[in-house]
Amino acid sequence: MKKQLLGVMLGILTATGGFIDAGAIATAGAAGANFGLGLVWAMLLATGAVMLMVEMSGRLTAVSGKTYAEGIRERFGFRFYLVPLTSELVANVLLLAADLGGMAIGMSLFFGVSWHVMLPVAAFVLLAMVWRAPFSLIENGPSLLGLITLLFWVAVIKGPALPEDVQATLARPAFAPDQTAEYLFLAAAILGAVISPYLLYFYSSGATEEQWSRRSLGLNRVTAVLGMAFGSTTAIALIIVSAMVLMPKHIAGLTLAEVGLALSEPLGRVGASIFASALFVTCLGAALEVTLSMGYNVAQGFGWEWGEDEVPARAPRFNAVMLAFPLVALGLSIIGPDPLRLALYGSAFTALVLPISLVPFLVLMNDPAYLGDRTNGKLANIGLGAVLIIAFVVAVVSIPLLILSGG
Amino acid sequence: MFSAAATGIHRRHADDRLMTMRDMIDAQIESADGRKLGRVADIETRRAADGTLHAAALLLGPEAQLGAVSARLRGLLSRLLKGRFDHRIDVAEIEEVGPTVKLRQRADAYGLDGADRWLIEHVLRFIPGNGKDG
Repeated sequence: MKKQLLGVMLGILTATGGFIDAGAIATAGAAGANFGLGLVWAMLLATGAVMLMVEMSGRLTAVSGKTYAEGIRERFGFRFYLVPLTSELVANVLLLAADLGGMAIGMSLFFGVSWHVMLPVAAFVLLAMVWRAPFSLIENGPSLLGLITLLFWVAVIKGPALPEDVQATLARPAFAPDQTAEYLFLAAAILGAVISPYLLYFYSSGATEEQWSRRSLGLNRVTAVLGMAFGSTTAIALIIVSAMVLMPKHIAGLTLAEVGLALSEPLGRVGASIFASALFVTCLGAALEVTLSMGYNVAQGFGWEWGEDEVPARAPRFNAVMLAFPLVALGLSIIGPDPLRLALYGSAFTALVLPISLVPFLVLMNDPAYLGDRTNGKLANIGLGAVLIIAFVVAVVSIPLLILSGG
Repeated sequence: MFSAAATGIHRRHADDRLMTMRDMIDAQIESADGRKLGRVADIETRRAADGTLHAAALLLGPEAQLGAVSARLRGLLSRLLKGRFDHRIDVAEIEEVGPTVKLRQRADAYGLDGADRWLIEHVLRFIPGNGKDG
C-alpha cells in the first residue's frame, strides 16, 4: 500500500515537472507580457485536453499492449502512417531546436558565455542521456528537478500587485484591433505547446517500458489529472509574473532571457539562478521526451527492435534515429531564430496539425478491438475533439493573418 | 485471399474466420526468440493449379515498403539498393498469425539484420558504451 502511494506520488510529481518546456515557457511568457491575463483561458482549455489525452494514451497501452505508433501502422496501414509521421517530424524538429536553445540559454545565464557557444554542450548532454540513461532516470530525473518551477508561485506572491485593468483581462481580454492576429496566434500556440502530440508516443511507449497492465489504470487516471493540473498552475504563474513585470515595460520582440527577467525581479538575486536552472532542466526533460518519442515512433512504425533500457547494439536502428534527430535540430538551433520564436512557431504549427496527430488516436481509442470494454466515453471524445477543432481553427485563421501583417 | 487452413498456418483463435491478406500486411514480424524483425510490407502470391491464389512469402524491406506506396519509388530504390536490404520469408516459416506474425526459427536464421549490422559496423561501434560485447 505504502509502495503504491509512493508510485502515485512519483507519477504526479513527474507529470507536474514535465508539463513545462520551452514551448510552455515561451507561450506563457509572451501571453503575459502582451495580453496580461487575457490568454489564461487558453491555458486552462489546453490543460483539460492534455489531461484527457495523457489518460487515454496510458489506457491504450495498458489495455491493448500496443503503443500509439504500432496502433496507427496496424490499424490504418503504411501509407496513412506516413502522414502523422511527417507532421511529427516537422513539429518535433522545431520544438527540439527550441528546447536545445532553452538548455543553452539556461547554461549561459549561469556561466556568462554566449548561449550559441553552449548549444553543442546542450546537444552533448542530451545525446549522452539518450544513449545510455535508463528509462526511469529519463522520465523521473528532469521532472523532479523541474519542480523548481513551483517557485514561479513565490514570484507571483512577492511581485507587485497586478493593476486593476490587467486583472480585468482575465474575464475580458483587451487588445488593439491590430493585435488580433497576434492574440489568436498566441492562443493557438498555447494549445499546441501544451497538447503536444509527442506525449502520445512517449507515454504509450513509457507504459510499455514500465510493463503497465489493466491494474495500472487507476494510477494512470490519477497521475494524468493531478499531475497536469499542478503543472498547469506553474504555467499560469508564469503568465501572471510576465503580466506583472513585463507588460508595464512594453517589451516587444520578447526573448527567453527577458522572460527570465520577469521572474528575477520579484525574486531578487536568486531569481536569475532559479530561472536559469528551471529553463535548463525543463528543456532537458522535454528534449529527452521529444527525442525518445521520435525514436519510438519510427522504430515501432517500421517494426524494429526498440527500448531505452536495451543496450544500443541490441536496438541499432532505434538508437540511430535518436542520434540523428538531435543533430538535425542542433543545426536548426544554430542557424535559426531565437529559441523563443522557434518555440512559438513550433507550438503554432503543432496546433495546426493537431487533427492529423489526434484524429487517428481518437479512432483507436473507440475501437473495441484495441480497448475491449475500456473504449472512450462520449464526454471524453467530445471534450478532446472540441479542443482539437478550436486549436485547428484558431491556427488556420491566425497564421496567415500574422504572415500578412508581417509579424 | 487465402484461408489459413489452406496454407497450414496455425491460427491463434479457434474460430473459422478467414485470414485475409489485409490482416497480415503491416503486421509485426517476430522471431522465435522474440526479436522484432520488421513489418510485413507486401505479400507474394502464387496461383495454384485449381486457379486459387495462395500466399507464398512475406516481403519486407525498403523496396517492398515504398513500392507499396508508389511504383515509381520502387523502381528508383531498386536501382539504388539492388535488393540488398529486402527480404522474402517463405510462408512455411510462419508459426502463428495475428497482429504479430511469429516465425519458427531464431532471428539469426533469417539474416534480416543487414541494416543493423551496417549501423553497428559503420556508426555505433565508434561510440563508447554501445554494449556491442555486452
